[in-house]
Formats: sequence, C-alpha cells, structure tokens
Amino acid sequence: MKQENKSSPGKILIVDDEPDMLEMLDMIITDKTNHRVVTTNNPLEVGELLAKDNYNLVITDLKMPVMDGMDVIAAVKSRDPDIPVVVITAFGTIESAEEAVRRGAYDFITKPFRKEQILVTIERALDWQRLVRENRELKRSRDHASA
Amino acid sequence: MFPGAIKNAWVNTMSSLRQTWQKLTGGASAESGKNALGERYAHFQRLLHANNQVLALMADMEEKLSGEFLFDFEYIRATVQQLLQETTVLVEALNGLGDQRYPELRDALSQIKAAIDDILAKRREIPTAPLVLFFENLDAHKVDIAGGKGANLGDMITHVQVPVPNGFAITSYAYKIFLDYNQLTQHIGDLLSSWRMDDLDSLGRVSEELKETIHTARIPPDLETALQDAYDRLAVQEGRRPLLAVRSSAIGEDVSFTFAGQYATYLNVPPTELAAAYKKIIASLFTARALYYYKNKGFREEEMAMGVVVMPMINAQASGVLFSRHPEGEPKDAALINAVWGLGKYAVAGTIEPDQYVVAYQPPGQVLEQHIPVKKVMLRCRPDGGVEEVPVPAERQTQPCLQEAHLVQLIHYAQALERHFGKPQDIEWALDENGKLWILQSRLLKIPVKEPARPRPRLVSGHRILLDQGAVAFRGVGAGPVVLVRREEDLKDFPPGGVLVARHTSPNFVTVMHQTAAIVTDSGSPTGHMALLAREFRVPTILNTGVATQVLKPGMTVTVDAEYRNVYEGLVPELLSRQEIAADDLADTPVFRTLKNVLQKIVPLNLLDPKAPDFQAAHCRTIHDIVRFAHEYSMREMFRLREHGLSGNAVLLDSELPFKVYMVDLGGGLERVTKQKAKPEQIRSLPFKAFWEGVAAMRWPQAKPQNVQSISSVFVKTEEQIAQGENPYRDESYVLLSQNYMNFSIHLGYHFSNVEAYVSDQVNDNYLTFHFHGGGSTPERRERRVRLIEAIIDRIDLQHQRHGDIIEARLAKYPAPEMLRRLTIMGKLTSYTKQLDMVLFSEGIVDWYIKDFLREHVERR
Repeated sequence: MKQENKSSPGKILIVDDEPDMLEMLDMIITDKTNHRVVTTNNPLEVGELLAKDNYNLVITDLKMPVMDGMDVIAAVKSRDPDIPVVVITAFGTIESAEEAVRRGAYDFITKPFRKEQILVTIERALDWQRLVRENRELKRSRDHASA
Repeated sequence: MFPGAIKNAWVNTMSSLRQTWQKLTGGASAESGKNALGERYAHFQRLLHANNQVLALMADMEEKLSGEFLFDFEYIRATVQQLLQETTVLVEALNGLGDQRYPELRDALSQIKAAIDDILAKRREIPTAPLVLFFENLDAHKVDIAGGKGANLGDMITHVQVPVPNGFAITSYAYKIFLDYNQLTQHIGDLLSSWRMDDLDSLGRVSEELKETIHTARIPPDLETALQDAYDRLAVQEGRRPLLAVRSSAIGEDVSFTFAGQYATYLNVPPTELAAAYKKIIASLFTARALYYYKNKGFREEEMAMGVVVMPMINAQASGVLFSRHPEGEPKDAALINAVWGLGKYAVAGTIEPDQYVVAYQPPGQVLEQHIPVKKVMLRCRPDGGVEEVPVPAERQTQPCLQEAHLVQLIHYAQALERHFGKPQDIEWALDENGKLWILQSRLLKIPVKEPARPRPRLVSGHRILLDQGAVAFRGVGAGPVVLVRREEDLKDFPPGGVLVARHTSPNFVTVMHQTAAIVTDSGSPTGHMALLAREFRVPTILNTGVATQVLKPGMTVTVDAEYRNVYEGLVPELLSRQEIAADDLADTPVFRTLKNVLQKIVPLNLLDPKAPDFQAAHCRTIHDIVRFAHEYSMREMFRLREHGLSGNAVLLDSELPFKVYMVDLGGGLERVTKQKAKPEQIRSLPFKAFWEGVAAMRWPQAKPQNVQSISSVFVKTEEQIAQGENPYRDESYVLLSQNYMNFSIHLGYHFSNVEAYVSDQVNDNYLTFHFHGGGSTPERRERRVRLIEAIIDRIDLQHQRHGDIIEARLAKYPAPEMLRRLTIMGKLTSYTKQLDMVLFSEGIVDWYIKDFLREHVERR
C-alpha cells in the first residue's frame, strides 16, 4: 500500500440541509487546509455520491428531513466502514450525538463551534482512517506471510 | 451621572428619615411593609439576573461575529428569542420595582423586537429594478439585481481595461415578474406539497414536471418588449444581428455558494429563441437539491432569485481558461492557461485534453512550461444557431492554440483582473475569428493551501512583556502610545491610534473607539457594556488585568495582543503584520450578514450619559439601550426604597460603638435572630459586613483602645463636640440588608450619608454608591470636610461629583474582593470624618489628615 504522508489531501463529503452551513464549512476547509470538499444539502444523494467517488471523511448534520444523520452514518458504514463520519449537532442535543457515536460516528461537534475545532476534528478523523487502513494492511500481509 | 432625580431623592430621603423610622419601629403594617420591600428587592434581583443574561447573550452573539466561529440561522433565531425573553423579564422587573413608571420601555422593546423579526424573516430581497440592464450600467454592487456573473461582467467593463463583449443582464426583478405573472410560486408550492419526494427518483420526477411547467409559462409582455429592445440595441452596437450566448447569473452563484449546483448555459442562440432559453435557464434552477430544500423549508421566490446574462456569441477559433495563479502553488509568479480549438466548453468540461501553458508574469508572457496534446475534435457555432462537434483539421490537431503574442496579452489581462479583484482569478477567454482576445468571465479562484494554517505562538520572544493577565473582550492586536484615561474629560484629547488604559470600563469610551488601537483596563467584565461596544468597534481589548494603570505608563508605546492577553513594550512587528493577512472570509455569507444586521438592533448604545436629557425610556433604540436604562434606573429605584413605606422587624445592631444602627433584613442579610438585637458577628450581608469592619476598626471615643499607631487613633471627644449637642446615642441610622446588598442611611452627629452597595460574584452587578451631606459647623469646616472626603474616595476610584457640600459618588463592576475592600475603607472613612469634625481647624491640617488616612488605610493593604 502506498505510504501516505500526514499532510496528504483528503476528500471530504459534507451533508447538511442548510446550504449556509455548507457554504461556510466549504469556505473554511478550503481556506485552511489542502483537502478537497464536496457538499450537498440533499442527504438522499449521499449513496450516489459515495458510489461515484472515494471519500476519506464524511461530515453530516444530524437533524435533516427525510434522511437524517443516523441514516447517513448507516449509508457510509455499509459502503466502507473505514470512512470516518463526523456528526454536527445543534446545541442541547448531546444525547442524539452520543447515539450517533454508538452507531459508528467517529466524533461529533456541537453548533456553534470554533473554526479551529472542526479543523482539528477533521485532521484527527483523517489520521484515524490512515491508521485503520495501515493496520488492516499490516494484518493482511502478516496473515499472508503466515499462510 | 448623578442627575437631579437622585439629588431630589436624596433630599427626600433625608427629610423623611425620621418619619420612616417611625414606620420602621412601630405600627401594625410592619409585616406587610416588609413584604412590599421584599417584593421590590425580588424585582431588583430578577432585574440583575436578566441584565446579566442579556449581556452574556449579547456578548455571545458578538463573539460569533468575530469570524472564529461557525453558526447557523437556528443559532441566531434561538439566541435572539432568548435575548428578547430576558429583556422582557428585565423590563417587567424594572416596572415592578418602580411602580409601573416605565411603560415606554415596553414600547421601545416591542419596536426593537419588530425590527429584529423583520430582519430574520427576510433573508433575501429582490430589489425593484429595470427588467434589463446593460453591462455598462452594472458593477460589483449590483449582484442582487444582475446576479454574480452579470455584476462581474459589468464591473470588468466599467472598472477594468479588459475587452469584455458588451451584453445585458436580465435582472432578478424580471425573474420575479415572470414568476408572478404565471403564478408560479403558488404552483410550485402546491407541487412540492403534493409529492412525498423521499427518494432521488421522485425528486427527479418533480424536477421534470416543474421544468415542463416553466417551459409552458408565458413571458410577461413587459419583459418580452424589454428583451426585444435590448436585443435591438445590442445589434446596433455590434453593427450586425448576432446570435447569443445566454448564461445563468444566479444571485449567489460565482459570488458565494448556491445549493442548486451548475446552472444551464445556452450557446449560439438565435434572437427568436432568447425567451425560450431564458425559461430553460429558470427551469434549471429546480434541481433535486433545490427541490429537497424547498420541500422541507417551503419555496420562497426570493431565495432562488435569478439573473441571466446575454452576450453576443463569439465564434471563437480558440478558447480556454486562465488561472491567474498556478493551483499547485508553484511556480509562484505564474499563471496556468488551458486552451482548446473552437468554443471553450470543451476546455471547461474537460471533454478533451487541452493545451497547457505555464506563463510567467515577469517577463510577461514567458512560457515556463507547455504541453500541447493532440486535439482531435472541437465545438463550433452552427450558422443557424446551436453548436456542433466537428473534427479539428489535421494540420491544426498538434498545433498550439495560442501564439506568444496571445499569451503576453492574456497575462496582462490576468494581471489587471487580479489587481482589480484583489484575489487570484479563474478567467474564461475566447479568441475570435479576427484574432482578438475577449474576456468572458472572471471569478474568484480557490486555491487549496499547501499546509494547514498553524496557530501562532502564545509568546513572541525578544520583546519585553509588561502584562500577561486579564480577560479578553475582543481578540486582536493593536499598538500605539498608552493614553491613561482617569476621567471623562481625558477622552476629549484622545489621540488617534492611542491605546486606552483605564482603571475601570465605561460606556463613554465609545466616543473614541473609532480611533483606539486597543483598550486595557484594571477592572471590568467581558460581558459588560463597554466590552460589547469594543466588539462592535472591533477594538482589541483586555479587561480586568488588575494592574494595567500601574505598569503601562502614559506615552510609552505598547503592543496589545488581545489574543493571548499579553502587552508588550514597543512595537511587535510579528504580531502586527499577521493582522493584515487574517481576512474575514465568512463575513460575506448570509448567516453572518443576518447576525450583523440583527446585532445592529441589539448592541449599539445610544443612551451614553445618564445625565443627558435624552436618557429616557422612549429613546431606547436597541436592546443595549434598554439594558443600560433599566440598570441605571433600577439603582435609582433601589436608592428610593425607603420612600415606599419602609417598615419591618427592625433589629438593633448590638455593638460597643456609640453608633445606633437598626437593620431590616430583606433576605440573607442576618443570621437568624430571635431577639430584637443582633451582634456584628451575625451580619451575613457581604457589603455591610465589610463596611462595619471598617467602622469598627477605627478607634471610637468610648470603644476599647486598639493597636493603631497614628494620629487617627487618638481622638477624644472634645468640649466643642459636646457643646454642639452631639449625643451619639440619640442618632439613629438604619440599613436595609440582604446577602449581597446594603442600603445604609447613616446619621451620625450632623453627618448624613448613605452608602448603598451590591456585591456578588457577578462583576456586572456590583456597584457602590455614596452620598454625603454634611450638616452643621461653619462653612469653612464643611468645605474642609467635603474636600477630605473627595480626596479619599478619589483615591479608591469612586467617580464623584459635588454640589455644594453634597457629594455623590459611584463605583461599579469591580470584582467582589475589590468592592469589599473599598467598602471597608468607606466604613473607616465614615468613622474618621465623624470624629475629625472638631479638629479641622485649618486647610493644612486637612491635607495632613488626608495623607494620614490614605497612608494608614488605603495604601497599606
């Protein structure tokens, strides 16, 4: 497997039914990091978007109509359990945020939040994904060697 | 600060002292009177609580505007709602405290609320404008009218020397007319509600149906005429009847984000089909994403307002895209140009591999790198309209699309556009049949940064730190000469760029904030009035440093880092240069703009000076005004508390001092007492406890001697005192108490004074007022006494005013320990002046006593 260096750019999908939030997230991530960002305000598209491209991270709002953040977690995890999902929740909904983590979200962040907070969370999530993949690769080669 | 009202109240209070006292000590209404007092005090407490809530909410909202935070509309709505609720509590509490004397405050609040509701309800507006505007009448400020692309093209034509084909924009107002004429808003609403749309397929079906509806809608006659006229004018300008390029120019598109994704563009449209193309572009707005949004939030035509630009079609021999900076970041001073044969769509869409040129700015047009692939097909205009793909003639397939002269020309245009827009640009260009280059579009080029931004270090080495503590009210860096502001008058000559250093915060500082580099104070809270204003004016501010006025000397140049609470000696270029780079990229987003507009109805302070005639409830124009007014008047109401049939179970303070004090407990002021007497140890009221400590620390004529080695410890009752009829035990003073409050009316000999104080953990609530009215004695002696008191209270930072021999003084927003320390000093001062009366026989001795007191009780901590 190709050794990725720490600052290698990731591809991030952001899902939030509020276009304004998408705009701002897109703006700061593009402004402060080298990651590429794809956004949609329509969670129904998530499956299609995941099928079309490889993402390193999905950031999703929790409370959305028709298909909420929990559904997005499920959609992401069924496609690739190694894609971390960071959930954005409104202030005062900590229980559902914890529920999201139980259902496989990597972490959650509560609105409003500092820019720095989301940027740090993104880097941690991407590091986590790299580690998980490297680990799996190591195991595979070990199993392969012992076989 | 102490208008006539207080003075009158004061005089009333004094004259009704005896009267009140009679009520206090007797009568059947004692218990009910105490209840009434208790109720008022409860109003006061509610008011203070609401006051703090409101200030904290205001501070929170202002903080969000700093650019450090991400928040959404829900945050604004929820916070505003809370703010209005708390302000209502505040207004009602003041009315409760003040016998409903402030109905205008309710009116002011409902007006402000209406204005805020207005802002929140309206997220975007379609301005009334001509249906069609030529580019030459547009500029960057007309985005709402012409859409991003139209405004941008107009801006290039009117402000930059680059060749842009002159066309026109069909305005957002035309879009509104079109929707209204066909009653489409209603229709779209119906359609959205009749479909479930819980999967992509149904969204797709509704999208198709809507497109069909719009396609069959009619162009309003006014718009049809306007389009015809505009085309005719264009034809005259061009000297021919050109085919057209028709492109969407959404409000928001190119300028900021839009959820609707890519909008349609129609190329080489015959003029007869302009209206149809227009409708197709409107229809292209209704993507699955847009429908999902409208399905869940409701469709509002203004949210999707749309402009369309119409330009003469350029039958390009070659076209492409220019990035004014290489997106990979290297080389730094070069542009990246893509080119294809024919129309540019194939370069933009990546249909074929284009030529690539990396071109230097210095020397202009020098090719640093180029890659010329085989280009087999191209898109070109069909003579009768529309476009078609055709093979590139064999001899041109491997040829570069651009010559050196073209590259030089393009690099000049890129330079001009970058200079004008101030940021890297993503530029669409076309080379026409006659070899002339045209600019078709220029928009912000987003270049991902190579390395994530790193926070800067806490401390910049190589510079002396003068101060490294306090509470940040507004982050940022500012530098300049220290200007010490002790009193209001000092603000008059405040130099531009000065660093304002003061003991306490004052809303009056707002008068110089526009020219203040930074503010540093000894006391104050980040949620106080002044802090709110500092944020409004974006002045880097550190409060509550404790020692700023001691370590920052007037005239010395300092750099204030209100990010990490440091003040450096001299200029720190590392900090100051960083400032310019930190651009506020979120400030232009709708959420930020809305919060900013809402805050305009909340934060600005118009009621600055309580002495001013317009310091009235009816003049409150912002929430801040209301809060300030209510707080000011709550203190006035509390001061008048005794006028309201003061009564209750008075308890005598059982001390050894010749000072008869009755206490009325409003709650938590005294330990539970069963008798009609209480010992000083049973005082629970924080302010009164501190004050009484001061009173008792002084040597009294009949008290036990204490170990105080100074002149003030050797008072004896003089013959003269006795001759003037002073009998300490006949004078009755009384105090209203609660755990955090005291209102102490002191009658000692011929001194009348009142010390009122509120002391709690909430710095914003804390205040101390002092009113002194010396009676008796000769004018000279009265004058000396007043001079002595003024000199001493000035040293402990009370702001004071004097009318004859009445002193009115106040101190506010110091932390509890600081408040209590001053109260103890006030207690000492009360004893001191009481006993000094008879010895103030010369001016010289007054100075001596002032010094003695300050040395013994103020400076020796």
